[in-house]
Amino acid sequence: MKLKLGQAAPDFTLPSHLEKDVTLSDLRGSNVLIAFFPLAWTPV
Amino acid sequence: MAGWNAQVLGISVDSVPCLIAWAESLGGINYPLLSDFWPHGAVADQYGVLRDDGKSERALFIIDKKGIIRYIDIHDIDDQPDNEEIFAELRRIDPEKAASAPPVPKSVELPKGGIVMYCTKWCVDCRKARVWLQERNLEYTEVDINATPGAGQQVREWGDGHLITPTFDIEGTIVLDFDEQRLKEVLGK
Repeated sequence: MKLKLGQAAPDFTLPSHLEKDVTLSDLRGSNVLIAFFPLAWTPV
Repeated sequence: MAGWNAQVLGISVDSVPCLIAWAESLGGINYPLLSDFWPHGAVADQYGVLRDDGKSERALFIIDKKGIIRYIDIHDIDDQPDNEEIFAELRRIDPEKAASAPPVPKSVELPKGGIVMYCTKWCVDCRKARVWLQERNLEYTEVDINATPGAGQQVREWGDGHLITPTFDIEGTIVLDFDEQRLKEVLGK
């Protein structure tokens, strides 16, 4: 495990399916639930 | 999860077009799905959840308002995370908000009569359908399937198991998808 509880979450900016980038640190002030998920799904 | 004052971010190592297609196949997902595609899995790697096969683990992190990690849960790739557990954790880190969270909504009665369009906020065909209806001065009722309990299930029943948006209920006649030809027939235009 690289990260531990109580540590600052590494910041990131990623493109989203809703057509704009999301930066974690922009969301300060609200709790954030990050869900990593394996998609394993390919469009036809 | 709006009531919990938690922004949900989904992250996968797939490309943006792939995420868009996937979200559409589910009838729309209204929180951002982020693409950790290039450099491949860089964020998953930072969070220690990148697997050797290039996919990420199924993992949950709760970050509090100050950007501090408050909860980490890494699941087996085939396991679905347990919502109750996540809610319990959000209550723990933010009891004030949790207390004011709305109760779980029950199914509401879906509108009947006239043109009822079942859609999502973001779906491209729904957007086209809105314009099409407005251009013809047709009154319609819109049902957001992401915000209306029971609506998604109803659409799935009509669509033979598929969550198709938009789906129209025109005086009891169901039109799947933004099918202009079929709409014209049903509306007699």
